[in-house]
Amino acid sequence: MKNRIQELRKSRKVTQQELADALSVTRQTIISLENGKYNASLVLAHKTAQYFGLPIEELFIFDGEDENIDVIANLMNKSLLD
Amino acid sequence: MEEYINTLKKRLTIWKLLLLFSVAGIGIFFIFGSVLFGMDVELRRAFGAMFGFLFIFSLCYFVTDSTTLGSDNKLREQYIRNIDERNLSIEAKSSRVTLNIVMICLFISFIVMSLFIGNNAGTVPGICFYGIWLIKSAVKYYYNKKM
Repeated sequence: MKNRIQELRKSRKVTQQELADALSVTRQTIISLENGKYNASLVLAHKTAQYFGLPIEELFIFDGEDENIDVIANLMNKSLLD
Repeated sequence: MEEYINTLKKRLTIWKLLLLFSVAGIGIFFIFGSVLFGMDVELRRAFGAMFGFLFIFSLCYFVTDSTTLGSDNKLREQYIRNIDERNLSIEAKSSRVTLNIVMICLFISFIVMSLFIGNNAGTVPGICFYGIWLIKSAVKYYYNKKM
Protein backbone atom coordinates (compact mmCIF):
# COMPACT_ATOMS: atom_id res chain seq x y z
CA MET A 1 0.00 0.00 0.00
CA LYS A 2 1.54 3.30 -1.12
CA ASN A 3 0.55 6.65 0.29
CA ARG A 4 0.98 10.37 -0.38
CA ILE A 5 1.42 11.43 3.25
CA GLN A 6 4.96 12.76 2.84
CA GLU A 7 4.10 14.64 -0.35
CA LEU A 8 1.01 16.27 1.16
CA ARG A 9 2.71 16.98 4.48
CA LYS A 10 5.61 18.75 2.77
CA SER A 11 3.35 20.69 0.44
CA ARG A 12 1.42 21.98 3.48
CA LYS A 13 4.63 22.68 5.43
CA VAL A 14 3.62 20.42 8.31
CA THR A 15 6.35 18.72 10.35
CA GLN A 16 6.22 15.01 11.17
CA GLN A 17 5.81 15.87 14.86
CA GLU A 18 2.86 18.20 14.16
CA LEU A 19 1.16 15.54 12.08
CA ALA A 20 1.88 12.92 14.73
CA ASP A 21 0.36 15.15 17.44
CA ALA A 22 -2.71 15.82 15.32
CA LEU A 23 -3.27 12.11 14.70
CA SER A 24 -2.34 11.04 18.27
CA VAL A 25 0.44 8.74 17.14
CA THR A 26 4.20 8.78 17.64
CA ARG A 27 6.54 10.47 15.17
CA GLN A 28 8.02 7.05 14.48
CA THR A 29 4.65 5.89 13.15
CA ILE A 30 4.54 8.82 10.71
CA ILE A 31 8.10 8.00 9.57
CA SER A 32 7.17 4.34 9.05
CA LEU A 33 4.00 5.30 7.16
CA GLU A 34 5.89 7.67 4.89
CA ASN A 35 8.57 5.06 4.20
CA GLY A 36 5.91 2.45 3.44
CA LYS A 37 7.18 0.18 6.22
CA TYR A 38 3.87 0.20 8.04
CA ASN A 39 0.30 0.15 6.72
CA ALA A 40 -2.16 2.33 8.62
CA SER A 41 -5.26 0.82 10.17
CA LEU A 42 -8.65 1.85 8.84
CA VAL A 43 -9.10 4.26 11.78
CA LEU A 44 -5.73 5.93 11.26
CA ALA A 45 -6.29 6.08 7.51
CA HIS A 46 -9.61 7.86 8.16
CA LYS A 47 -8.01 10.28 10.60
CA THR A 48 -5.17 11.06 8.17
CA ALA A 49 -7.58 11.58 5.28
CA GLN A 50 -9.70 13.88 7.45
CA TYR A 51 -6.60 15.83 8.46
CA PHE A 52 -5.66 16.47 4.84
CA GLY A 53 -9.29 16.93 3.79
CA LEU A 54 -9.09 14.24 1.12
CA PRO A 55 -10.88 10.95 0.48
CA ILE A 56 -8.95 7.89 1.65
CA GLU A 57 -8.41 6.56 -1.89
CA GLU A 58 -6.57 9.76 -2.85
CA LEU A 59 -4.23 9.43 0.10
CA PHE A 60 -3.64 5.68 0.13
CA ILE A 61 -2.99 3.97 -3.16
CA PHE A 62 -3.76 0.29 -3.26
CA ASP A 63 -1.16 -1.23 -5.57
CA GLY A 64 -2.52 -4.77 -5.54
CA GLU A 65 0.47 -6.14 -3.66
CA ASP A 66 -1.62 -7.42 -0.75
CA GLU A 67 -4.12 -8.86 -3.18
CA ASN A 68 -1.31 -10.92 -4.78
CA ILE A 69 -0.34 -12.26 -1.39
CA ASP A 70 -3.96 -13.33 -0.81
CA VAL A 71 -4.11 -14.97 -4.23
CA ILE A 72 -0.87 -16.90 -3.52
CA ALA A 73 -2.16 -17.95 -0.09
CA ASN A 74 -5.45 -19.14 -1.60
CA LEU A 75 -3.63 -21.09 -4.30
CA MET A 76 -1.38 -22.72 -1.72
CA ASN A 77 -4.36 -23.67 0.44
CA LYS A 78 -6.14 -25.07 -2.61
CA SER A 79 -3.12 -27.15 -3.66
CA LEU A 80 -2.77 -28.47 -0.09
CA LEU A 81 -6.44 -29.45 0.00
CA ASP A 82 -6.25 -31.09 -3.43
CA MET B 1 -6.74 10.59 28.48
CA GLU B 2 -8.79 10.55 31.73
CA GLU B 3 -8.98 6.79 31.52
CA TYR B 4 -5.19 6.60 31.20
CA ILE B 5 -4.72 8.92 34.22
CA ASN B 6 -7.01 6.65 36.26
CA THR B 7 -5.06 3.59 35.12
CA LEU B 8 -1.80 5.26 36.18
CA LYS B 9 -3.30 6.12 39.59
CA LYS B 10 -4.44 2.51 40.05
CA ARG B 11 -0.99 1.31 39.02
CA LEU B 12 0.62 3.63 41.57
CA THR B 13 -1.47 2.00 44.31
CA ILE B 14 -0.31 -1.44 43.10
CA TRP B 15 3.35 -0.34 43.13
CA LYS B 16 2.93 1.06 46.66
CA LEU B 17 1.43 -2.25 47.83
CA LEU B 18 4.21 -4.20 46.14
CA LEU B 19 6.82 -1.95 47.76
CA LEU B 20 5.30 -2.60 51.18
CA PHE B 21 5.06 -6.31 50.45
CA SER B 22 8.69 -6.51 49.33
CA VAL B 23 9.97 -4.50 52.33
CA ALA B 24 7.96 -6.77 54.63
CA GLY B 25 9.34 -9.82 52.79
CA ILE B 26 12.92 -8.62 53.13
CA GLY B 27 12.34 -7.92 56.83
CA ILE B 28 10.61 -11.20 57.63
CA PHE B 29 12.63 -13.64 55.50
CA PHE B 30 16.02 -12.01 54.93
CA ILE B 31 16.68 -10.14 58.18
CA PHE B 32 14.70 -12.19 60.72
CA GLY B 33 14.43 -15.44 58.72
CA SER B 34 16.80 -17.35 60.98
CA VAL B 35 15.07 -16.17 64.17
CA LEU B 36 11.48 -16.62 62.96
CA PHE B 37 11.73 -19.73 60.77
CA GLY B 38 15.20 -21.10 61.46
CA MET B 39 16.31 -20.57 57.85
CA ASP B 40 19.91 -21.11 56.80
CA VAL B 41 21.98 -18.36 55.11
CA GLU B 42 21.45 -19.71 51.58
CA LEU B 43 17.66 -19.74 51.87
CA ARG B 44 17.64 -16.28 53.44
CA ARG B 45 19.78 -14.96 50.59
CA ALA B 46 17.44 -16.54 48.03
CA PHE B 47 14.41 -14.87 49.65
CA GLY B 48 16.37 -11.62 49.97
CA ALA B 49 17.21 -11.66 46.27
CA MET B 50 13.62 -12.44 45.32
CA PHE B 51 12.09 -9.68 47.43
CA GLY B 52 14.96 -7.33 46.58
CA PHE B 53 14.24 -7.78 42.89
CA LEU B 54 10.55 -7.12 43.53
CA PHE B 55 11.45 -3.99 45.52
CA ILE B 56 13.69 -2.56 42.76
CA PHE B 57 11.14 -3.47 40.06
CA SER B 58 8.24 -1.77 41.93
CA LEU B 59 10.37 1.23 42.86
CA CYS B 60 11.41 1.82 39.23
CA TYR B 61 7.80 1.67 38.01
CA PHE B 62 6.59 3.76 40.96
CA VAL B 63 9.11 6.53 40.14
CA THR B 64 8.34 6.36 36.40
CA ASP B 65 4.56 6.51 36.88
CA SER B 66 4.81 9.28 39.50
CA THR B 67 6.99 11.36 37.16
CA THR B 68 4.56 10.77 34.31
CA LEU B 69 1.59 11.86 36.41
CA GLY B 70 3.46 14.95 37.59
CA SER B 71 4.18 16.37 34.15
CA ASP B 72 1.57 17.16 31.48
CA ASN B 73 4.03 16.80 28.61
CA LYS B 74 5.28 13.42 29.81
CA LEU B 75 1.72 12.29 30.42
CA ARG B 76 0.65 13.11 26.88
CA GLU B 77 3.83 11.60 25.44
CA GLN B 78 3.35 8.40 27.43
CA TYR B 79 -0.36 8.25 26.58
CA ILE B 80 0.36 8.54 22.85
CA ARG B 81 3.09 5.92 23.13
CA ASN B 82 0.57 3.62 24.82
CA ILE B 83 -2.21 4.01 22.28
CA ASP B 84 0.01 4.27 19.21
CA GLU B 85 -1.23 1.58 16.83
CA ARG B 86 2.25 0.81 15.46
CA ASN B 87 3.53 0.19 18.99
CA LEU B 88 0.52 -2.03 19.72
CA SER B 89 1.06 -3.90 16.49
CA ILE B 90 4.76 -4.41 17.29
CA GLU B 91 3.82 -5.61 20.77
CA ALA B 92 1.28 -8.10 19.39
CA LYS B 93 3.65 -9.39 16.73
CA SER B 94 6.60 -9.78 19.12
CA SER B 95 4.37 -11.64 21.61
CA ARG B 96 3.23 -13.97 18.84
CA VAL B 97 6.77 -14.65 17.64
CA THR B 98 8.04 -15.13 21.22
CA LEU B 99 5.28 -17.64 21.93
CA ASN B 100 6.13 -19.58 18.77
CA ILE B 101 9.85 -19.61 19.64
CA VAL B 102 9.08 -20.81 23.20
CA MET B 103 6.83 -23.57 21.82
CA ILE B 104 9.46 -24.70 19.30
CA CYS B 105 12.17 -24.73 22.01
CA LEU B 106 9.92 -26.73 24.36
CA PHE B 107 9.08 -29.21 21.62
CA ILE B 108 12.74 -29.67 20.66
CA SER B 109 13.79 -30.11 24.31
CA PHE B 110 10.90 -32.58 24.79
CA ILE B 111 12.16 -34.69 21.86
CA VAL B 112 15.86 -34.41 22.75
CA MET B 113 15.38 -35.11 26.46
CA SER B 114 13.01 -38.02 25.83
CA LEU B 115 15.39 -39.62 23.32
CA PHE B 116 18.74 -39.03 24.99
CA ILE B 117 18.12 -38.67 28.71
CA GLY B 118 15.02 -40.72 29.40
CA ASN B 119 11.26 -40.69 29.03
CA ASN B 120 10.71 -39.00 32.37
CA ALA B 121 13.14 -36.16 31.65
CA GLY B 122 11.08 -34.99 28.71
CA THR B 123 7.87 -34.90 30.72
CA VAL B 124 8.21 -31.30 31.99
CA PRO B 125 8.88 -29.65 28.60
CA GLY B 126 6.26 -31.95 27.06
CA ILE B 127 3.58 -30.92 29.57
CA CYS B 128 4.56 -27.26 29.16
CA PHE B 129 4.34 -27.55 25.37
CA TYR B 130 0.91 -29.19 25.35
CA GLY B 131 -0.30 -26.86 28.12
CA ILE B 132 0.65 -23.76 26.14
CA TRP B 133 -0.80 -25.27 22.98
CA LEU B 134 -4.10 -26.02 24.78
CA ILE B 135 -4.30 -22.50 26.24
CA LYS B 136 -3.53 -21.00 22.83
CA SER B 137 -6.26 -23.11 21.22
CA ALA B 138 -8.76 -22.11 23.93
CA VAL B 139 -7.95 -18.40 23.54
CA LYS B 140 -8.18 -18.73 19.75
CA TYR B 141 -11.58 -20.43 20.08
CA TYR B 142 -12.78 -17.64 22.41
CA TYR B 143 -11.79 -14.87 20.00
CA ASN B 144 -13.16 -16.85 17.07
CA LYS B 145 -16.56 -16.85 18.79
CA LYS B 146 -16.25 -13.24 19.92
CA MET B 147 -15.29 -11.64 16.59
